Amino acid sequence: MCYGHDVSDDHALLESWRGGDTRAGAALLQRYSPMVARFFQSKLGDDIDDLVQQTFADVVRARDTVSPDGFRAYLLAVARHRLVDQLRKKSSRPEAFDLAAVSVEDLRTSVSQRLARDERRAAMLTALRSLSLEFQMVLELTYWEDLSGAEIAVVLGVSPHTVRSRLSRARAALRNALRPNEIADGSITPAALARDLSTHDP
Amino acid sequence: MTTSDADPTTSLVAELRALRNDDDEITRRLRLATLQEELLGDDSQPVFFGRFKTLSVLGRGGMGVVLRAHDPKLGREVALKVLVANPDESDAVARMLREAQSMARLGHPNLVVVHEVDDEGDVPFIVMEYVVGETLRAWMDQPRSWREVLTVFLGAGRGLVAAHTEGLVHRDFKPSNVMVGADGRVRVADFGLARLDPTVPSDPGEHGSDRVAEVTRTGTIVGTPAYMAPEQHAGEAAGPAADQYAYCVALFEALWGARPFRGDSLESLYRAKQRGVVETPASNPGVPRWLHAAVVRGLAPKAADRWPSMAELLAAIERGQTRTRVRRIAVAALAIAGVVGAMALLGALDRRQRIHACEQAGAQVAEVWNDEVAATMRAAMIASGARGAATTADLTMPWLVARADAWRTARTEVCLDAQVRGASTADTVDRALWCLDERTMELEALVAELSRGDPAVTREAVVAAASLPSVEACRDPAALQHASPPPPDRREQVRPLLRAMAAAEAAVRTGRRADGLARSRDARAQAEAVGWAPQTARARLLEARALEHSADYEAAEQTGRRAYFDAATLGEWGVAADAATRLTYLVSYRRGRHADAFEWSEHAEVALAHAADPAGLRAAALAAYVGTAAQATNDSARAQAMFERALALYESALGSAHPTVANALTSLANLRKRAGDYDEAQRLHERALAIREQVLGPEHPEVGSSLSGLAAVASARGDTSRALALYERAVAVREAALGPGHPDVAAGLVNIAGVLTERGQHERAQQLLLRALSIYDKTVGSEHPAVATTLAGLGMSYADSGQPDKGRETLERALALLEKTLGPQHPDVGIASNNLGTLYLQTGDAAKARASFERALQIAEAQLGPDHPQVALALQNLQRIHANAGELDTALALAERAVAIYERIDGEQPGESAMLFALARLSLDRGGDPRRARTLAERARDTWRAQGEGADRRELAAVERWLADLPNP
Repeated sequence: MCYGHDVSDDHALLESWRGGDTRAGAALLQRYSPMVARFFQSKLGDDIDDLVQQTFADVVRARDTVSPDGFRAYLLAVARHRLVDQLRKKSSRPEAFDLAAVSVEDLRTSVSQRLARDERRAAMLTALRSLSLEFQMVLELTYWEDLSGAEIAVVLGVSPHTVRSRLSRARAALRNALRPNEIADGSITPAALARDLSTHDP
Repeated sequence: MTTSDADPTTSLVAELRALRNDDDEITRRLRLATLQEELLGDDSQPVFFGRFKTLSVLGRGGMGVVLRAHDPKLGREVALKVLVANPDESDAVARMLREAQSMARLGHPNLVVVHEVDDEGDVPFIVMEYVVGETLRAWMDQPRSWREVLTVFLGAGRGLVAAHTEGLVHRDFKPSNVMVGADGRVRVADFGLARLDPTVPSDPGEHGSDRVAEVTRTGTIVGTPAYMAPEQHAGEAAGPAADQYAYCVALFEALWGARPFRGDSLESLYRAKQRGVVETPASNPGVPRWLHAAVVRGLAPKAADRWPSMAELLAAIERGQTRTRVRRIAVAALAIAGVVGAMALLGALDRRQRIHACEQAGAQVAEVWNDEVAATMRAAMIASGARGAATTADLTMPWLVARADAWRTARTEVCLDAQVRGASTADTVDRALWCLDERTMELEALVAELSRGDPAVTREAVVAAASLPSVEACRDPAALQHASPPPPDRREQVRPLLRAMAAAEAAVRTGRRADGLARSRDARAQAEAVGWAPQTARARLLEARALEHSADYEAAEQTGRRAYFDAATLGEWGVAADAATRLTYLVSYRRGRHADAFEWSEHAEVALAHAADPAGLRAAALAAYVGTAAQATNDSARAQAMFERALALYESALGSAHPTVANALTSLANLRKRAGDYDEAQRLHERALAIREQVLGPEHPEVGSSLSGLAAVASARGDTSRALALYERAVAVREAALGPGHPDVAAGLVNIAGVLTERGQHERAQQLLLRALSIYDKTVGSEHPAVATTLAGLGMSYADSGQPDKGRETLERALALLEKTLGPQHPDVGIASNNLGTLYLQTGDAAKARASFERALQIAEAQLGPDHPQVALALQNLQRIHANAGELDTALALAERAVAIYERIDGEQPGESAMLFALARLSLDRGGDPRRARTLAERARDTWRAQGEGADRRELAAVERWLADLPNP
């Protein structure tokens, strides 16, 4: 786990915050606001400050107890509700990532490398964003936030078993979305795909 | 999980992991601060950069984040570009800061203003003007006609031209880097990627080494793919031609709703640009063909095949606009007249030649204003050695350029009306051309004046350039009918006279008193010799203004009066209106005869009813001066209405960023302050300050006036440390700009001394006051009202520092001088009387004290209104006299009146707590409600306690003792 503090500490902090201790609130905000911001940002872009704020406000206002699977999962589950609400209101996905409209800053990297890297990154991002929200979330929570299957199950409100199969299908969908390019440079084959399906165990 | 490097799943997962976007440190801190404030109510940890308190995030880019922030020093909002870069990007950061500094020097209406660059702290940042409006990207999302698109893009293009002229290249021009302000002004922003243009020859010594370094830098790529020129794709050095390319891509996109080149990848985009084949969508068939051709030329793959410069591209677009307008009107005229087509064809070729001739006529403005003239003027201004001269020169230039542009357009249009459209009579054309002739003479004379390299003239440059008479009036048929050009056979005779007038005007306008007077007299003599009566009246008015500037108010009034009656007799109503308006101000403000001033304002109204006033500037000036007279007679409701009217008229005629608008705001601010409306006063002063800093530059003495105004508001609120800091900055600005021996510096010193006295720092205050007196003595003489106010301050300071007799003597001298110079009913006489009364009280002369306070009360009530703090103060002092004499009922009544006034005034007044405590004691003594007495005393105690160190310990101890002794209810 990438967080070097005791998880039970989170529960204590939350209880103190609910009891009016603002220092405990500050500690939790410091610890988890980057993660919550990242969660919204990858789906909605930069204008997310209100959602991050509402998520924490919901968590403090709620009187329910946090499941034994941890505060992080609980927090992200609340964030997910907020996200779904927001998307329902907006009813449209953010516009596709337009590489051509983003500045390339001059850096030390050689021109061709830099452009190639940016192109690949843009292709990945576009592919990720083309997936369904459920797929996108399961991939991000697994690989960006290092959440366990059990934790993700809490966030998404499904069984751990569903998480496992959904992760496999999400990876396949991502590869599929990248496919036109991948086949052209021959780096991914159906055989590799098959092996991946069987070997990964979250 | 498999671990082999070759395993595609591992590589996919690794790439996916690398896609995680971690916020940079600054974004993280900002977000945390916002969350803490919103959720925990803890606003104690706002994020600061330097003195700037961040408010919100405006946008993010590769090398930084742009924030909206508050500048507490100047009380305004700014945009901060905070550079967050890796250590290996330090070269790029250093370059960005350097370019921002170049931008700060540049100053152009179509460029976002760079206020300052801070690279002192850990995180370097650039402070820019916060533009209220939208990005060009957002603006383009709405459907726009091609004419609207051109108006906005011409503005942006002019910004680029200005930058190119200074050797700066933007390198990342795109719609999201351009702001369309709510004021309609277009500003190019984000020169973060700008670099010096390697093709511009460098001044040896200045930027010389930088340029060489830039030329040798290759192999880097900069820009935004969609807008990048092919040479940028190739990583070659990008010059102004690359900006032209990006500009044309954006313009193309704005006109046709799609970019000219497309590609699935960068490589294919680059190839499409290299091929240079533009696919024009049919989405906007109304766009004329000439415009398409102009834009496509800017998209040529090779820089050499594009327009030679941005300036030439813009000129081509402007020419096209003119032709289109002509054609449109011509077609309409044909349709109405029902002329057969053949005739139109016959005239077509000839018409083209005529249009060309009209454009040539417009281009004549280059005879008085061209690059060489501009460069000479700029060099002379800088060589004048005036503080901030380079900034002033840069800020002056756009006004003159705009004036020359307006002239070019007006001259072309007048010609087209006559030669092509056949839309105007010979008489109108004749009048218009004469009017335009006068305008060029004025422009030429002012440029000559500014090219003298005189520091005092340089300081006045922006205001003088901004107040040149409008060229638009030369195209207004109604206004032209009011003009009286000399008959054609006398024109050559009159022309030298007009030149002399323009020269005199320029000297008066730039504050050269002696020369202005000599030249205006010379112009009048010439006018009389030629026998051209209208010009004689005008010259006389100019002479009156020069006399006023030289402080010879009596002669100014006589001369102005003569100018008015001469002009009115001739039916020269414009000159008559100007003369009567000026007299309204002079007679009231300088001569103190307010009733006469109002009479002049009525003359001005009459003249104005007959005169031409197309932009409303004459009405604005009259409203401003009537407001001044109303304020002098304490008719604050009328003053308020007049100042508001003046402000509205000036803003609509001149736009919001004009020095005259700042003056109108300042008048209004001072009025609000006098009325005790400190919030509004501060807001208005802040607006004026922002305009002055922007249009006059931060080192201009007028900036000092705004700071002083803000300090006075802070002082009235009782915030002495803020007042002191602001006054000190005001003095610093004035000393630097005007020299340490200038009377305006002395006035600033008196202000500081006032605050120091209030804080009990008497010795320092006295030093400053004596220094101010010595400055006044050497400049304005010893019989000036300013000397009286300074003496008054000195007297109070002596008295407060244990020298009551010396204080009383000094104050008596001050009062006598005030009565002599300002008149016996002036509010300052009231203030001095009140102060003198307190000294009589100290030295035991109760009868004299009472007389002084009664006089102070009478003057304050009559001059400042019944709810003014000065009235409360006089009541409070008078109450003390009566209480001491045992007349407790009278004392109680006076105390109740004083407290009632204090309660109506916003903010804590200096004597307020003492008055509350005194009322508490009096009312208890006279059998009043003990609970109310307690409440009053507690309020006094709490205020003193809250003052901490600055509180009067004796008073605090007394009220605490009194409260302790009070029987519990």
